[in-house]
Amino acid sequence: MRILASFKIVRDIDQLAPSELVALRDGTLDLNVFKTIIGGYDEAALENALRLRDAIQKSGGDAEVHAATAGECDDRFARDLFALGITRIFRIAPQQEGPADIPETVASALAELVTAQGGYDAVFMGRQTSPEEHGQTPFLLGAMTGLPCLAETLDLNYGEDGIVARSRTDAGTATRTVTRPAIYVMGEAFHPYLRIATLREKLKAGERTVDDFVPPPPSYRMEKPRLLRRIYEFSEKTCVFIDGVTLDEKVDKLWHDHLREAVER
Amino acid sequence: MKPTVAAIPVTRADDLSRVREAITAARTAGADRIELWLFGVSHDRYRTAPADILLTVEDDAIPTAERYATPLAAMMTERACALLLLPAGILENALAVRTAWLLGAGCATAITGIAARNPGFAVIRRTFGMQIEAEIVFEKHSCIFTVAKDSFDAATDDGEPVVVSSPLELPSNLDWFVDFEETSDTEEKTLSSSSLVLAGGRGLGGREAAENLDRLGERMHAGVGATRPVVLNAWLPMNRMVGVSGISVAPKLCIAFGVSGSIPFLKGVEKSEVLIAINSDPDAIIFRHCDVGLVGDCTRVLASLLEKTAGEPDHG
Repeated sequence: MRILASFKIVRDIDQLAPSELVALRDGTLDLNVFKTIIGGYDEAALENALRLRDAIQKSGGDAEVHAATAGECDDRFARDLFALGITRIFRIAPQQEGPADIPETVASALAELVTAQGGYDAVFMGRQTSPEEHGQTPFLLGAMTGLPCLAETLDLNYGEDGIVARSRTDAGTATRTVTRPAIYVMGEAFHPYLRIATLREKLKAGERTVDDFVPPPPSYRMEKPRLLRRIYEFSEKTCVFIDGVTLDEKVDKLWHDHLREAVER
Repeated sequence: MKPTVAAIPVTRADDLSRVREAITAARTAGADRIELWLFGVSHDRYRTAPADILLTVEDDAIPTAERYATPLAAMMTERACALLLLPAGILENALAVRTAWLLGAGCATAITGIAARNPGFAVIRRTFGMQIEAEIVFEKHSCIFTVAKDSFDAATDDGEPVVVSSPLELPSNLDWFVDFEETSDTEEKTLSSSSLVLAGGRGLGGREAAENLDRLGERMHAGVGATRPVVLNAWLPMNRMVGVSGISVAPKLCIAFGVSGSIPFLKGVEKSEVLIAINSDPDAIIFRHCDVGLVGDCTRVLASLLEKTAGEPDHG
């Protein structure tokens, strides 16, 4: 089975301070000072791609995982991914620069890659990535390639009948046996974190290189959104702190002033 | 020229309020005609919806974006509809994107605001980890948006829409999966209707403290929710996650134990009448967003509260 996992390297901007959010709104925040990480949902995509590979190999089958990224991908990330047994990494040449990521651009490039590689049996993608978090790329890729998408995939198992996938639905959760190549869109997955390569694995991986993939320029079908402005206004609540010399004193006040009545009610 | 708008409750017969929110969004966008397109959903519940037309499409197969996208695109063209608004959901987000691609339309998911422009629309959506909003503009084509929950007030007036049956036949073949089984999850309804909610964050430190939180919740007759790190670490089940990607709560009182205060979580509890936060870090972000704060070790606070409620029975 041929598996592809797409990922994006993003800036770790979780929990920006209000002053930083103001700077971001005004376009003066230098994002380059923030460390780079693999996007959270993309971590789940990579990990679950590897888990599927492991399950197939454990059942005696053949499987390999490729990875693809549009944008920056320094050697640090590539080394770790090769060490985890990903056999090829494609770095998609940037097609466009601008204040807003365009999902159709990335999806189009991935579609070209999928076609150029002769198709994949399973494609793993994160639900959305920073900063714009459009949440459209997986479904656009599906539309362009004719692949169905399983949104909010929770986890997968591999058995005699193939891939059995569990996913969140609007009503609850669902399981199904997938009978043809598909895109698995990872949201809040059961296995969200990418495993860490051991030193032995890293040494065994040796020096591998990333493949550069240059897709043809996309022909856009959808209207590209135009960013008008960013909006942020900081409004802070006035928090009343429970005082006390000891924690027990504070808990007593919490209980008597706020909780006891609620419990008795 | 004002647009014709369609709001679509796709398959889900139980959430009339989401449809009414989408109707408000349509009005805000300046729609002069609103149609509801019901895919495999009885029109009985929508007879008094403030819409002009109820267009019913017969369907008894499993709803998927792959099945609905092409017919939906055809309907949008046939009925000269310039704006499609769907209540944001797992199916609807996928359907909106696929349909927009087929039509070459503009598309945005989970919008929290909309305004008509001449021409086109401006919409607002959350970005950068939900920390900041972006206003984006579509000017040229038809548009398809999904409407984030609780972003618009549900329209409260009633109407007398004309019921029309669509002759459209939807494809019924499901050629990419078999053995489909779906389980309903009632946890969201329980938690979102609780008047007292306890929420645990990473500061709980582990499953034992999370179980203590559950126990305290039982004694206090409170719903118990969790932040994303807690459920991803499997300290509490995934279906207890409170936040933009999980459950929104609106209790009289919400107590957050060891929660740092990420924006997605805060969005999930912002409708709490009173929010109390317990965190050992006096600079924790959550203290900027709560009504009452207690600086201290949340696990010790938990233990103390369990002692105080020791006389209460453990349910479950």
